[in-house]
Amino acid sequence: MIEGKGLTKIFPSLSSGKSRITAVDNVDIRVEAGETLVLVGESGCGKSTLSRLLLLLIPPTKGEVFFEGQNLARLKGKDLRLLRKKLQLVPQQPQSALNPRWKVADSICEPFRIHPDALAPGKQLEEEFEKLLRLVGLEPEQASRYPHQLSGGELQRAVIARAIALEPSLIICDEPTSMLDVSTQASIINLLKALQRKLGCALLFITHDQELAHAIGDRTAVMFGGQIVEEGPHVLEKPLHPFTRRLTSISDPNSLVYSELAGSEPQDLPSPKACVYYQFCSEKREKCLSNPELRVYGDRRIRCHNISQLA
Amino acid sequence: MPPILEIQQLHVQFSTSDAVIRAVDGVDLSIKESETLAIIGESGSGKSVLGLALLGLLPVACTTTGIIRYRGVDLLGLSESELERIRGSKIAWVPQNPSGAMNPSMTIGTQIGEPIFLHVEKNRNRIREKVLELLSFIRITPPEERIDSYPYSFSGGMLQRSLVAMGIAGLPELLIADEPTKGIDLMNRQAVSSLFESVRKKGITLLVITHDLRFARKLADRIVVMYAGEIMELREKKSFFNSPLHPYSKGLLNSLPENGLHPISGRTREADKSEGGCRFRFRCAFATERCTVEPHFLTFPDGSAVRCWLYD
Repeated sequence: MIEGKGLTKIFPSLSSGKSRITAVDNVDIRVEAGETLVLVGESGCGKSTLSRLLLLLIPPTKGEVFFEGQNLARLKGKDLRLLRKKLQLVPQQPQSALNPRWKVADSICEPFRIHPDALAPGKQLEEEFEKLLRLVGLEPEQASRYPHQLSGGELQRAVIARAIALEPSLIICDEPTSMLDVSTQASIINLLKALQRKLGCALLFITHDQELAHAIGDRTAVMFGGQIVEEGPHVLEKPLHPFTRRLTSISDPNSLVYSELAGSEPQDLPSPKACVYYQFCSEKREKCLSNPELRVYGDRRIRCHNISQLA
Repeated sequence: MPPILEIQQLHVQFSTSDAVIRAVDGVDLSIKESETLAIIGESGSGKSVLGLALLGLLPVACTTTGIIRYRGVDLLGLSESELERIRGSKIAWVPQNPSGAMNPSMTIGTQIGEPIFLHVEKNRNRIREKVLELLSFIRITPPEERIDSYPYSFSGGMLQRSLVAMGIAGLPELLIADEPTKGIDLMNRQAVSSLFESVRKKGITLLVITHDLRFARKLADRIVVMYAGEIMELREKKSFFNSPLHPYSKGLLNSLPENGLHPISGRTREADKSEGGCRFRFRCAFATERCTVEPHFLTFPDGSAVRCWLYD
């Protein structure tokens, strides 16, 4: 349904003396209608940048985004706006996602102001608004307040209500629960899954919580250093790429090696063409000095030279 | 051995224009020497207010009553200048939200050096040496290059570890940390949690306020569960995670993704406190007629305790 091809984002460096930062490096990603794709990886690996590229909130340096066959980069102005109805974002910090000077209800109804024709004929905004509140489990009284008067979980429900207002086909959730407590997290996740069943929309779920990824995802993509290094179903249960294996082993609280945690960002690659995981990999060999392609192994795609021996 | 900190009937109240908020409501707790105690509970349960109250860091507008006895001295009876001698040097605080807790216009080294200057050592060169030692202790390497950096150039995880370094810089006996793993990724969480492990090995008593149950499970000796300003359960870690007693504790554990993501229905309301009876009964699947009467804080011979009629 949505597909990114060869997406690359290079940010120019602000301070002099440092080189440019390649946040996302030649990523192919696709999300099918109605499925949940979980994107996992550490801070700074490019997960959030990738999600913004897919929505074209920032222009890619290279690469294209196709939504239902249409190339988003070719669309402009009104056409792009119409298409964006179908693509929504639930950000990490609901506090900063809602206008602090608007009542929450005004924020939830904003999509209908931007797309007045999205309101089904004969339906009133009021009705539609009450339906949204029921779907996400908010009281009208709560929606009549300002964002600072609500808790994090209530705000996240309001943000979700706004995101589903136009019945999107894809919701990108960027760590929607990382700042919430466990019980609120569980109810927000259940809410998102229930809405997905009801509305049939696809979810691209960004998280660094592996247990959560297990619990909700149909497919998982693992990112490191701006690239997808492994992708497929049951990736975290049966990790094959060296980075995924390291990531899943440290979630086991008993296998902690602090010294290994010194750095997780690729900094000094021996050659610009080397595998992004080169300096951390314990199984590196000479051919790892050239970056491997993302190759298909059964239902899995992996970016590593040594997989044929591993599999 | 006598407890390092003993809290008796602690109440903290905030008065607003239309109501009195009882953020901490009758907490009894003693913290043993060199143990690690984790206080868990949902947002708004009073965990952070309790932590701030122990250090006398709450705004003057609220009323704190009860007894907080640190090595025999009641902290609530001390003057601000007497408290300042304890704060940082005996009992230290690691605040939440590292990016907001650091001064953006001072270098990391100066900020970590401040408690050393105030409580330990006045010589500039020796302070710098100690800061370098602390930076290697929190694995910020190479320390010589990072000591003069400003906070903006540190990642969230590095700032969090720097805050821990600031906390232990004054060589405290008790360290209180508020949500040290909130919003940071797995590797950083592991780094913070093994840092606390090494702080613990130094013999520092730890009080960790968190809603990260996995972090609590890994680090703590005992678990305190707070709900609506009260302690609902106090247990040894192992028995807590194997067989939680209070329905609220069970609800928290069932909310974890690995336990099926079952949230606790309903939410905490301030009104639940004023109606009397058990505060959790409005969300509790086991609530009966009896729960309209406030349950006792039942203490068992092994030191664990629970506030629920199911066990009376």
